Amino acid sequence: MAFTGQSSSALRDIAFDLMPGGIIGIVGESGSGKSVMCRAIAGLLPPSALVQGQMNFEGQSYRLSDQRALASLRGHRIAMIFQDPMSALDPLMSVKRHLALRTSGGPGPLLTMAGFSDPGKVLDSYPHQMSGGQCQRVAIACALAREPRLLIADEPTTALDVTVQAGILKRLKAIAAERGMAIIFVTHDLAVAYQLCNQIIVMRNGAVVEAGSADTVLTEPRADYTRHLIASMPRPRSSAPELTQQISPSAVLRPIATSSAGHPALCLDNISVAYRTPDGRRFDAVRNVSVDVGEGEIVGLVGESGSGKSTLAKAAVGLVTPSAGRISMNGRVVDWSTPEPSWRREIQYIFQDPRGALDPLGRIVHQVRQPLDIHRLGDKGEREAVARARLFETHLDDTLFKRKPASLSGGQRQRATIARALTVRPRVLICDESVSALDVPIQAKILDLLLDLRDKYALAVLFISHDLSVIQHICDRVVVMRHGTLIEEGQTFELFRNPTESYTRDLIAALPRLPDAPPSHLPEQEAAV
Amino acid sequence: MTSRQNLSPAIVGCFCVLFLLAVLVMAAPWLSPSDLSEVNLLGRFKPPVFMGGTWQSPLGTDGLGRDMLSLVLRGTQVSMTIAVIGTIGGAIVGTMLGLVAAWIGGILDAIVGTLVDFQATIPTLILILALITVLPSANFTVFVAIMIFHGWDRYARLARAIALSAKSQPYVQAQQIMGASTLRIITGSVLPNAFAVLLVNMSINFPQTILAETTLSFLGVGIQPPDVSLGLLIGIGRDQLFNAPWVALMPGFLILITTISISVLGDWARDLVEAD
Amino acid sequence: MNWYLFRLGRACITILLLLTFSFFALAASGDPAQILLGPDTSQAAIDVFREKWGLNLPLWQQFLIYLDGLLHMNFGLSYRSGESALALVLDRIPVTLSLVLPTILLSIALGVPLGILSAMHRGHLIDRLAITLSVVGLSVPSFLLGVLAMYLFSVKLGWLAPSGYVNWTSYIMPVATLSTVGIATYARFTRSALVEVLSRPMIETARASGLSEGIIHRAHALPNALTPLITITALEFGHFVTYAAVVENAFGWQGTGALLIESVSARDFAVVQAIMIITGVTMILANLLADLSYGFIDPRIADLRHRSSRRLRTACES
Repeated sequence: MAFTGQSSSALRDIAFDLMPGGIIGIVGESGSGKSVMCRAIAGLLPPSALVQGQMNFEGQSYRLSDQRALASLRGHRIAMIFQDPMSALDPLMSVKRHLALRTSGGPGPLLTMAGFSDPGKVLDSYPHQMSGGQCQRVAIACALAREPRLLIADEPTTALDVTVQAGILKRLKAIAAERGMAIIFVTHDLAVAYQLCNQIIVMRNGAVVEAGSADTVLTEPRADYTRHLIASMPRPRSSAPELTQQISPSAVLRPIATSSAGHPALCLDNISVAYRTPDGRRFDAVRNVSVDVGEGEIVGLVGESGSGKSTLAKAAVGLVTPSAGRISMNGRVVDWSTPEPSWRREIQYIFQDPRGALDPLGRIVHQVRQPLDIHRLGDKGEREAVARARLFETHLDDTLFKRKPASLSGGQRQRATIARALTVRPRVLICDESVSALDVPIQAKILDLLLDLRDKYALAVLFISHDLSVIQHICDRVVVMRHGTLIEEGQTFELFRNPTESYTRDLIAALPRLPDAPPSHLPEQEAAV
Repeated sequence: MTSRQNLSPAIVGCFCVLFLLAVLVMAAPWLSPSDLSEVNLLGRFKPPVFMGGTWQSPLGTDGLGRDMLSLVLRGTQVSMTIAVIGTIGGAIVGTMLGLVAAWIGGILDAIVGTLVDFQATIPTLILILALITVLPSANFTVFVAIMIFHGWDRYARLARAIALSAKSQPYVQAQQIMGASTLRIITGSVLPNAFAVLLVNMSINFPQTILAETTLSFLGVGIQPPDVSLGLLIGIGRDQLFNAPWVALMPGFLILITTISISVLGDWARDLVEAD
Repeated sequence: MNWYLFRLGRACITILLLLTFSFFALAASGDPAQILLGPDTSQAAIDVFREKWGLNLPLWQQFLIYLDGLLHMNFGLSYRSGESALALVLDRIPVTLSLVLPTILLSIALGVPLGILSAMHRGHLIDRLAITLSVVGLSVPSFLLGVLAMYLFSVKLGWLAPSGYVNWTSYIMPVATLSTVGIATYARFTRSALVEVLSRPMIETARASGLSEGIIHRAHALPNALTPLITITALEFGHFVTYAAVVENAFGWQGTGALLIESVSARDFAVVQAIMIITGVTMILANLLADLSYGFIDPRIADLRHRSSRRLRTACES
């Protein structure tokens, strides 16, 4: 299939070729136009979109503006799957019925092909009874029910855990080989593209910036933007703890591990959190987990969804009440049910969603000033000055200070939240998936910012993420959680080189690798969870 | 706020209608050609100007010889005033109850919830009718107070939902972590963000209150003579439909354009808010 | 099973609340003896009356007697006519039903398809027409519609009798007036429910795997839009009863609605109370039925109910 030339306001002059059985990866940041292009091929753009260009599919030529012709191709020639698995299925229909609508044949073989080891068990299940990975596999089965020649996949694994992602990628590769089906795979993650695809196209602002085989694009990129993308990808910093050069000159000044009095800046001691589900059952989100964070140290808390890492972090600041255990800051026991104002100044929290963390109605500089207003520190002029100083520190452009959050980008908003957290000079900073919603290049900048600030203020940082590559890049120590319990902990370098627990090994192995990274074994099983 | 597209002529028209209405309501005493207590039995049932009458009574006269224009103006004034007080009163009461109940939770939430549920069980109009029956005299102030009942539960439900969702919003949680007091969070963040939704609800509630009051007055159990209400006028006029239709149709026309304008504007406002 | 018991219990509590409210409203309305016998009666006569009717007993005892009476279908006597309040109401119900039932049928039969067409052809002529009709139908008071209809068809055109029950043609105006509101309501809510469902990602996914628009509407869109529609029907039930009362009054029909208005004017609380209780109980039952039906339609809700324990949820759960 050949696909040429396009112009709408979002896209300009795209062209590529795809052979049967070939897998092409489309990589780009948000706003690069990759999703728009996929929808254009499938004929799913809204009627108001102006599409020009044509497609040669299986020897026949189609105009991309002819929605009716494209619609006739859907299902038995071209199919598409999307990012969010939970909302892709009809909550009122069982899996069996989903498939029955599309094919009169048996659903079993389709489900097996999608990776279910025991299709019979899920046939009568409803979407809300299944996990994200299972839902996505059902969506894949539905898409492949009529045996299309081309599958378009728009970030299908972005919302899934890394082990589940690995399984699905392996399945997709197998299906493409078995059936000679071509796949267009959209992702923001170069490593995923490298793992799965034989060709890669890099898109930026609606245009193709680079195209070629996967190996060439990643090892010998021609475009500056591609190089920039590759460089922004989080990598393990320096091999061993001794070689702490290269990051910043002030790294020399960085104090190591615990603070002067011997107390860790934040100590979570045997914390358990349990709560009741709507149907009355007791659910243990966190079970007997202990984590210490010393002054100037960045400790990573890593786990997949449902591991309890976020709940633990929320317990540390009092957003949830632990059912057992003790929290202490700098040696002092802290009980959030009767909080002292000074405690609130010592620990701050950066949320994942920069959009939700800022009041949509308030101006940035006022919101950054808010902690000072609440604690009545200094007079109005001083507070304004401090707020501005913190904002400058986070490299936020001062033309944006008077704006409202809606006019800032995700990265800029996250900088503002960080500035806000630092106005009261906290000792501890908790970052809850703070970079997960950002594009890779922006993510890299925020990570660098966090490292700088840690060096400058000797912050103790508890960094929560599901993304192992980010953890590897920024953290000194790592704690691995699963299903509410602590699986393993250790110095980053050691943990990643020699993981002791099998779960940790699986997690690390499931990470899609870039060409220059050392290879490791792939997980043994890849059946649906 | 999304950028303003060109307002369709219908929307502009509705704004004009409402503006005129507001002017009429406030200027009623000065615009009325005659005093309402003047009864002129000789001049009964005079037709309006466009049906063969004179300019002395441009909209005709009723069965007691009173000038229709004055009656309609006064009636509009009364109906609008009641509707405004009822809507705003209901909004304040309902919002406060809903917010507080949701934020504090526990037994307060249960009580408010039971009250809201109870109000939903009986059709509001029947509830109001029951209240009117038991109250010693349906004078003006009492009646207005009753109108607050009409719709407070919607605000309470809405405010409760808003408060609950706000509690789980990161920016509210961030303020809690920073140590802000509950009062500061509610007045500083929750209420301003909820304003748009509450305003839209008011625009739905307002015509409903007008409807309720005019219906009750029409049925004879609302505003009583010698007070005047648009519904009351229609009720009286209904019996004269054959020989003096204008007595019912003039006030009817006014109700029509008022409620339609407000409904259209309310829908438009809701589309704006939901698009954000 | 536990959830069903809980829900039934909640319905009973609401009924009890209704009865309590009704009783205390009655008690607050002043001395029935005074009201019934008139302002000029002697104190002695009033005392005899109060003794006879047990009005001197403490309030809670009166409440229990009242509840007991209700269980025996005794709603008290009408102050005006002295007859059993219940009998009076039951006598009028058939008239009201003959008005309300055709209206409901007509509203659903015309309103829902209109809403569906509207949603499927958003922005086109039929959609805009439907929306306009809905706005007008919902913002105009039913009594005004009735009077306008009367004016047009009786006064100007002379086709139909303005009021009262003459023959089958007398049904036309009242039912049409009531149905206008009903059709407008159903059209509007069906449209918005369907539009919301059609904007969900699952619809795009279905399209992307090759299903035709027809199948998507039939199998995915409509069933998902059913739940809000059921909610609306249960809610609108009460509205229908109210509008029926108004329309009956406007057109001079001797139905329950007319009885209600007369009784309110005459402060005949026993009858008002009887109507209120009957209406209330019917609505509570309708809501109960609606709630039950959700469990059959939506597997998520069925799961939730199956697994729920005896833990009490707050009354605000919806």
